[in-house]
Amino acid sequence: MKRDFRKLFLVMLAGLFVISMAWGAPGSFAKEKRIKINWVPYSIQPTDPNGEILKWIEEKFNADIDVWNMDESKFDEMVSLRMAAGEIPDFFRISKVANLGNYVNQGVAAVIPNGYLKKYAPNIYKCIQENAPGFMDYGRINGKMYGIPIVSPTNIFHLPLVYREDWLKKVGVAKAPETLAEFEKLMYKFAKEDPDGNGKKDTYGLSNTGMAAVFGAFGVPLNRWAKDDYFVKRGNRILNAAVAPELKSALALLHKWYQDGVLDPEFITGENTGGYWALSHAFINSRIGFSCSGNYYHWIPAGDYSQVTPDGKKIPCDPGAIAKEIGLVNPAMKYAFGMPLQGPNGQRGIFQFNRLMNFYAFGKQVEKDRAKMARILQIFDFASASPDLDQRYRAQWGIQGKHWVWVDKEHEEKNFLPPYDKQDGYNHRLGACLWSDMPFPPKQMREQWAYQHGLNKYGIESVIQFSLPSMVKYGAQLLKMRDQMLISIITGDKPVEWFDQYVKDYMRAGGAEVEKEVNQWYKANHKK
Amino acid sequence: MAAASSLFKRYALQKASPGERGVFQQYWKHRHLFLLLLPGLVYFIVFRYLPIYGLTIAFKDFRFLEGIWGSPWVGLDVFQNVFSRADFWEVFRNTFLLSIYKLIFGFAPPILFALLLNEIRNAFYKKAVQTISYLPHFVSWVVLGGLFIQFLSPSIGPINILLKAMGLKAIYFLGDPKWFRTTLVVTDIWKSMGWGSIIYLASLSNIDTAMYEAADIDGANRWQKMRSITLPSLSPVITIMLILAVGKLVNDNFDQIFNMYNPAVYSVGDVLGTYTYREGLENMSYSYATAVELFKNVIAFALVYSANKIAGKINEYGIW
Repeated sequence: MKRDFRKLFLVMLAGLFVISMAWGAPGSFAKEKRIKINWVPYSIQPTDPNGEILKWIEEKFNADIDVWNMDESKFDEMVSLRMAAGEIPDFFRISKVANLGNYVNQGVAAVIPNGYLKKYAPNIYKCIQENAPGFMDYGRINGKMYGIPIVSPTNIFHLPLVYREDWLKKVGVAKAPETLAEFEKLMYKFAKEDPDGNGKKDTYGLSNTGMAAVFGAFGVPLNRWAKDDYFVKRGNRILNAAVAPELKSALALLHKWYQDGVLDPEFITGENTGGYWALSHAFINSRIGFSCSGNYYHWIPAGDYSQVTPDGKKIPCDPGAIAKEIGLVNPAMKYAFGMPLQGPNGQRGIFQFNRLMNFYAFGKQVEKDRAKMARILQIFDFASASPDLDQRYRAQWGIQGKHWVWVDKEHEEKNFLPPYDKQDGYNHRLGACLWSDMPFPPKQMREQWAYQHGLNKYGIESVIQFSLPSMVKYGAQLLKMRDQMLISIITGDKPVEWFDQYVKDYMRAGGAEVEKEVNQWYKANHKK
Repeated sequence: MAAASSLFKRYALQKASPGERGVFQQYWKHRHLFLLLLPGLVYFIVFRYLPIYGLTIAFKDFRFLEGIWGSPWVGLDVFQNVFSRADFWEVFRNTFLLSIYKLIFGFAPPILFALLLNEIRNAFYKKAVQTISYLPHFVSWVVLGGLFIQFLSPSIGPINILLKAMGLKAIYFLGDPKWFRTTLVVTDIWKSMGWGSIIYLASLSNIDTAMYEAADIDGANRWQKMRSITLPSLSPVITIMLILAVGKLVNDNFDQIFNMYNPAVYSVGDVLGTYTYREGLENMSYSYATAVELFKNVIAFALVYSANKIAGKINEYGIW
């Protein structure tokens, strides 16, 4: 009995000791007034108001945080509906970049005073300035700072170029093409020389995602998935990729391929026939020999690199979504990655998704409450970019040894512990969601894999990754025109010469206004 | 059902008693009937009439901070914006044409199907056919969209394999503007026919069997019985269904089209629903989306009203 007590006492003491260690010395916040914050983070799962990480951050920063969870698939619609009903949160995520302008026009976003980010979120500021120079400007509208730009760490990799390796062998080509001319020869072989050896003419070179490689070789960042506007610089003029002059030559080539039965005539309905968006059923079912579907990590074959388990065992990595499907449907298939193609002007290139993903902004009422703004920035900075990795990972993934363990701290490789490894978004439940991705140079094995495959080279980014009011106004209509034009020229419904007429129509339908605004913005924010 | 209608008859047939018994007393006397009406009434007030106030944002520049009430009026500016879009009328025409095709070709099949089912004597077989015909109704267009892309493919789809075997050219059902509307109409009929036949089957089972027996004695054959008894008995239901269908003329089947269309067929397949989805909701343009919906509803109202008038002229059944 007595001994039990002593044991309990010791355990409690040890516990207290651990807790006080975790808390660290109470910061400067304890002396200040407790602040109440309404926060709308990215959420996969509803946050428990008593979640242990939420509680820890609340104590550490002397704040009461009310987390509003929004459904990710309709994020901005839900947030703006709450606002339309008169409830404006103090700090909120904007999932669609284009919407920052809408919130500012609505007058619900607060101005972030100059120097505030640098002073109260020094780590975030430094990370963005070093790894994504110029991106800070995207948060400005009419010269005032409204949004904290969220820059993707992994969109530094371009679209994957994937070839059927077994088909390459079959048609007697040693390695993946380097130039557009080589690529064209190969596509013709894939379509004409029966690479699957079944004696039928039932194969094609490429379908709709693969066109991105052709556009890229002409220096135009175009991709079927791109719902946003992409801009290119020609001379000192910025213009929309949808009217880039090189597009005409690219379309002429694609039209020829379409007529010669090299481009899959069913590219119109696409490579994907439902299910997960990144899957290319045409590639998986041996219909085409080349695809740029999805992202690099969808294609990583099982065991291409090793992961390490918490007890130090090396295990092969899991396959990506497309690799997994191929393993199920056609395990004998071999595929290989290629580099972006060198086009007629000697440049290589291919589409790369925009790195600017979201914004975070403050509600209008915080404009007057500078202390609150500072406190929110300090919390956000701590959880997103604290240089102390242990602390940062605690704020993002939960408690080390309970929810996750380091496998290789130097490469920031961690493993989740059961049962949390099977629970998507468990950290959001704990309240470990008051952070956002930052463009730190990726160190994990998966990204090392992408570096090794050269996916960080030759990608073409949009020179402007932001939405201006005119884009919001005309965006849907211009996108429709672009897509209709691409299809009608490739299928020969309209002659290639018609492209010039299309450019005129496009400009008349709002393209000119967008271009003017974009160039003004660019000049104002890029003082050369 | 039968109990309720006989109850109704009993009450309805009671004459209002003369003298000082006022209207209120009449109401009080039938209070239980009104109690039955209450839930429906509350539903319509809360979910159908109160939100009408929100329609005002179609005439306002909707501002979050000011709310619906405080936002400034802008007259018909939003509508001007809607009607001035280059492609609005094309989209409007598509919506209308598609709906008219669906009405012309899709209205009769459920009725015919119900009549055919009604002639089947083997109960087990009848049940099986019915159940199978309901199935497509429960599969979402998201799933069917993917299935149809495969099924209607010019190279691997069974229909085109058949066509090619007969020496005909393959048809790109989902990529050719000439065929896209036909494809939408046919797949829609396939999906909704079984489900749509339920209401007709229900009213078929309500026809007094004595009439058929009398016809048998008179020596009528099946065909004559259908023409002189079944169809006339169905006509009220058919009329009402037709009026309702006319009201849906401006409604497009958003789910179906969204999951089956692509830029190649925008010129014939882009409808008001998909258009406002791309134009309005994704950009937080509440006023814009509301204006389009309001415009749609005004037209729907006009159509239903005139359809009802016409139906009233032809026979005495109508909605009101």
